[in-house]
Amino acid sequence: MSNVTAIDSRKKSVDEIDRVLRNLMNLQGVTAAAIVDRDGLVTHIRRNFEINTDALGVSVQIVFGAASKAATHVNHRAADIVICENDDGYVLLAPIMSGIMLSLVTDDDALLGRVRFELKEAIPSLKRLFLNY
Amino acid sequence: MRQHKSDYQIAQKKILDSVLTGEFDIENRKNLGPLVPIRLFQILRMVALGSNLEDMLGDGSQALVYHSGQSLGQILGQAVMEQADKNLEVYVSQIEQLCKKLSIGLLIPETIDLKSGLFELRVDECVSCAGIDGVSSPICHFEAGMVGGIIKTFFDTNVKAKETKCNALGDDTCLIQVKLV
Repeated sequence: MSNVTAIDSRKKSVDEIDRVLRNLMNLQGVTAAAIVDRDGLVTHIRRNFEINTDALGVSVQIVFGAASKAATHVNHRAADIVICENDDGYVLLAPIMSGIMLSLVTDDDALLGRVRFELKEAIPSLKRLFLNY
Repeated sequence: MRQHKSDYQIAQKKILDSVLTGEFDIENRKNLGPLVPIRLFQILRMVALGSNLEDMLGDGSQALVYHSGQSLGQILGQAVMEQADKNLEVYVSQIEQLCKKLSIGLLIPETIDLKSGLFELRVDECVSCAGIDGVSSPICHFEAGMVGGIIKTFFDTNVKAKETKCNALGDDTCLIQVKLV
């Protein structure tokens, strides 16, 4: 019986995580929302274009790791969000917990402030979900 | 249009071609020969691709090392895939031989559960952590990625590989658990 509960609870968490990603994808200009684990594996993703998930996952961890190190070199505390501003849009990275990261990709149509706000709003919900995952 | 290859990519091709054909003789090493001490490999693995990388990338270093191992695993996997003709037993046996020949370690399957998509492979005499002790968690992320890449290539699906036992932790082997995802 306890096993059945565990599976149900995990399935529920997966559905909830997917719902959070779907909501983020509904924002103007957001083209991909992904969750990346500590080893750089994309564990959950919503996107409307083809992505090499292996390369994306490892890049997310490397970029966030390097940015966090840069922060410590200038006596700043933990990095909260890393934003890459590109010719064609933005890539935003934010830690959820224990090395798990949320990454959002946008096109140049996105409103950075709105996306950033919603990203920050999503983190506590995702954190709760991953605690039970 | 021909894609430009970086110097690292050119060197990679030369090295991998020679590894996959079993041709280990090296030009310009008339006196020193083709072999180097394991400690030199470990300097590259644990220092250049370990602590130095960690200094620059923090937690991101682990993902990079894992990914590098996965890329090598996929190359080794692709190299033997044709001969294995989709037979998992033949495939694993060919990989075992290749890992032994390259002195990466003695790869021994412990669990192959196709139903649940769970695999456990031992790496005895692992080249990365042999002679290292006193660590607080498994350190063979490269080998975990490599074994993951080997399994990923055969099943053509994403995998999650994790080292659950490590010689450097005092275990008698390095054990890599791989789950199909």
